[in-house]
Amino acid sequence: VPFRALTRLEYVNTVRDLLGDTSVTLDALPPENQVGRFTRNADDRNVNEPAVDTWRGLADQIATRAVRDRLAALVRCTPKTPADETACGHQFIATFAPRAFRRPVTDGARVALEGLFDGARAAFGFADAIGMTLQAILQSPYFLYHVEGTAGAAGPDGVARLDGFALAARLAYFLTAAPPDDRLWTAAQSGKLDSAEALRTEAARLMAGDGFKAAIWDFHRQWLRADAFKNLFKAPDAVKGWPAQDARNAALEESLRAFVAAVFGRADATVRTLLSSPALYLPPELAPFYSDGPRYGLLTQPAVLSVLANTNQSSPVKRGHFVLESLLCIPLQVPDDPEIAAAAMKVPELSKDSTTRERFAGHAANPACAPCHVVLGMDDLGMAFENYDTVGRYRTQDAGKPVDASGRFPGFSDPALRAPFANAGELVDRLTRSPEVRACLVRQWYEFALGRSLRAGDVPSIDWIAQGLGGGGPADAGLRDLLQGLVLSEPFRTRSLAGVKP
Amino acid sequence: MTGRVFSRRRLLRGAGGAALALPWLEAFSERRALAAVPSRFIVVFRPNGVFPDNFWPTVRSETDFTLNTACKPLEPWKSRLAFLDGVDMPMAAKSPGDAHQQGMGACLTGRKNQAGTIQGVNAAAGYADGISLDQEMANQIGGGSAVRSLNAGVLSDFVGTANKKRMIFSAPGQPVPSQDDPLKVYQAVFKAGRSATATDVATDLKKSKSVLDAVLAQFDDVSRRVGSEDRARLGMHAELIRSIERRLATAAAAPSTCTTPPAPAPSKYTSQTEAQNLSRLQIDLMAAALACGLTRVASLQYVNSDNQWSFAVLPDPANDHSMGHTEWGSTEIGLTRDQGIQRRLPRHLWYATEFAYLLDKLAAYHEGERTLLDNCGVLWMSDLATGGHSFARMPYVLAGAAGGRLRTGRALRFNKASNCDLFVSLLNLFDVKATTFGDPAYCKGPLPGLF
Repeated sequence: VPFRALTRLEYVNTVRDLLGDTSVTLDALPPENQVGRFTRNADDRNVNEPAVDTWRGLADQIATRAVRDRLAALVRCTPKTPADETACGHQFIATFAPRAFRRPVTDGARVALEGLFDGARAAFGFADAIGMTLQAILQSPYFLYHVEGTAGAAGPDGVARLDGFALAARLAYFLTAAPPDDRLWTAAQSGKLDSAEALRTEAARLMAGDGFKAAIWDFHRQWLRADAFKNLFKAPDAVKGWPAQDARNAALEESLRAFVAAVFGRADATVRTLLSSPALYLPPELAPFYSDGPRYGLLTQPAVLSVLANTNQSSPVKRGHFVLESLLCIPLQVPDDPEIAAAAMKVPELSKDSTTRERFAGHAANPACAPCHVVLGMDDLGMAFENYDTVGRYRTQDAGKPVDASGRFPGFSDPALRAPFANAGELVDRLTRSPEVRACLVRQWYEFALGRSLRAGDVPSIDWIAQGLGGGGPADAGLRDLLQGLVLSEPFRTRSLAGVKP
Repeated sequence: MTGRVFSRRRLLRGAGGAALALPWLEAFSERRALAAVPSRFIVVFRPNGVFPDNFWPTVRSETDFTLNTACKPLEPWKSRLAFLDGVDMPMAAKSPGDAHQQGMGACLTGRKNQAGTIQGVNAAAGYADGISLDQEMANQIGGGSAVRSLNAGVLSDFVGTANKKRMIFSAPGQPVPSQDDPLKVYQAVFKAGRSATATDVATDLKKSKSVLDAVLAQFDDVSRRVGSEDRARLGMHAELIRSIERRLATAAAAPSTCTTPPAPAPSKYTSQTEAQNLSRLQIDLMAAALACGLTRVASLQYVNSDNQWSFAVLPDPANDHSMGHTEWGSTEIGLTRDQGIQRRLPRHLWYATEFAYLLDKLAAYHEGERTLLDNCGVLWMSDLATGGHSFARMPYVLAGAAGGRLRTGRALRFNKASNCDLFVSLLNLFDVKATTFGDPAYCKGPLPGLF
């Protein structure tokens, strides 16, 4: 398994925690190449000249600010003689570089940095030398990549345990999108994290802290495609009298963020809380538009319903597709035929006289569409949300007729769940009781936590985590238990050394 | 591996000021001796294809044709254009991914996408499985210039799927993003050394080199501790640092023969309401960099194949991606087909106007008897042939004379040629002796009669 690079968010937070510098923005960093569902993915092997040049420019700017604004706090010594300066610079390297690298500095790296500092001090003076050393640290592979060390030799399967530093870094970046804090760093140094109990305690501590919100949002932002809010367009008729596009989108995104933060902010939140909580967190400018009708958790959040819709009408296809693919982890593939693919891009024309259900009825008659849309149940899963329009407003009428949000999903393994449902509320209730949904959530979080795409060998670990969730049945599976389970799983605490020469 | 790859750095470090005596520079000198006037290559991309009925000219003979409605802004440049009708993108239809992933991957590489997990519309794919034409050009003709290739963008990173945003590839599966921020383009091209005086330039260079050498030593150190997969990527990363180090040295050593333009003010380069301003800023910088000899290869990428922007620079903003579908009868935004064709036309015109502005700009720089435009080969292209996701009759248009070798004022017709064939021709146009480019299964050799 290769090392992954710092994501944009991780870079920003790492610079913040190391230097107290909060002026680096996400946009200042190189664009990310998504591989799989999440940007924190080791399978993204891309590195290119603009990115390397951007990292170089940022290192220069950050170092310039650090030396200008907080040199004394950074080096913590006031040298008076050249000998003092050398000692002070080397001490800076010895204390700062390990935190920047999230692990002890190798002799090779230390020699390179000290050599740089010594030469620069002689040629340009102490402050410039500190700045240049900082630049070299911020461009180091040990800073830009998650270089992980292992403790002891690999077993016969090529897998070795992570050392305390690598484990602390994984834990911190997973649960706070930031480097280990002082307490975690101390635990890593003392070897305390080798025990499952200590790991569990540290995970619980991080989940109770402020950084947790940022990590949770990083997951949901990508899982729920919230980046679409940068420019989500709606037909003018659909949003007459609403705030303008940018303000509307920002407000919708904020409401989703608040919902997710509130759910995960509760230590006892379960999969059921996430999927069926009636809560809405709307800013005042949007509240009037969403005062009606019931809400059933994540899938009925206005933001989610707006993204999973067409510009001027709801989309049973997008909504059903999301449930199948992202909640049930059923992969879908359009037939190879380009004509069918092109047909799949077309949305039936909106009309005052026809309901959504009538407009999409053609799927049943078309043998190219029916396998996924009808037999597999995609359209029924999406039609369940027909009480919510293109912007997720509640409605009971569609084209002058009562909304029919009923359907059935034959894919549940539990026969009790396969009976027809009447509306979104009933479907969501079934989803919360489905072992498939629980396993799928674990899969998504697993990919996010480990920072790589799933592999065939991961299935037993995923099953182990899914089975360990909650005592009172699947619906009560605790969200924090899920994350705890991930942290305690073997893959999170180990690393494959296949291909690494001793 | 480390010994070989890192030896060049040691040479650089050891040689100090004589660092310019490197093999790549010698190769460049030979090439320069062959071509009296350096030719430059430019790619301009705009997304989601054209509408054939208002794009392709009315052709009476190869040199007697009338520009169509969507190309009217190019009327002053008609004699400097070559329309290449009948060039298809056959590998795209067989490529993993949805139509936009297929088109974006193939449009400059002539290759399919790698299999992968980037989710498109009901399909998934990786990135293109080969180098893109501009990067091959940069390898062949760009190496000696201060900036190997200048890849600018206008909202290229705007909302969308990862592999629908990337058309430039340095190697199989290695996308190179376009730089949307004019200020960053400016800094990368004109401010390689930040200081004004010769002494400051030398000091800055010395500092940068010391820092980068210490960074490279750490790459050397980590590469000895990791597996082969990681070593390959870290090696690539280190090589890019070396490339930057060389560029800084070249920039500091080369006395500037032209006036550096003023730095652009910081712009809201992620905001679509700024597109007009951004387009002009990027074109100005690009033309200035080419004129100054700072780069030989440039690209300009408008938005991306997802193209979810609503064209806020026009009086009629609406999602342009959907508008492209509407030209083919989709009713997703509630328009009839005729309405769609009418309402997308101003968008086509906008791109044509910006392209004409680039040609204006290039022609305004004089190089001896010729203009910069005479010494450029400009390829105007898209990821799709049409908003209906077709890959037949890709809208490839050439402009400029590529140093006098390309005859323009022509409307050429080919019979189901492949974009690979076009790319071989373009490499030949720049004296690169290629017989194939992109996926060999779709490459028959240079286009007949292009020049």
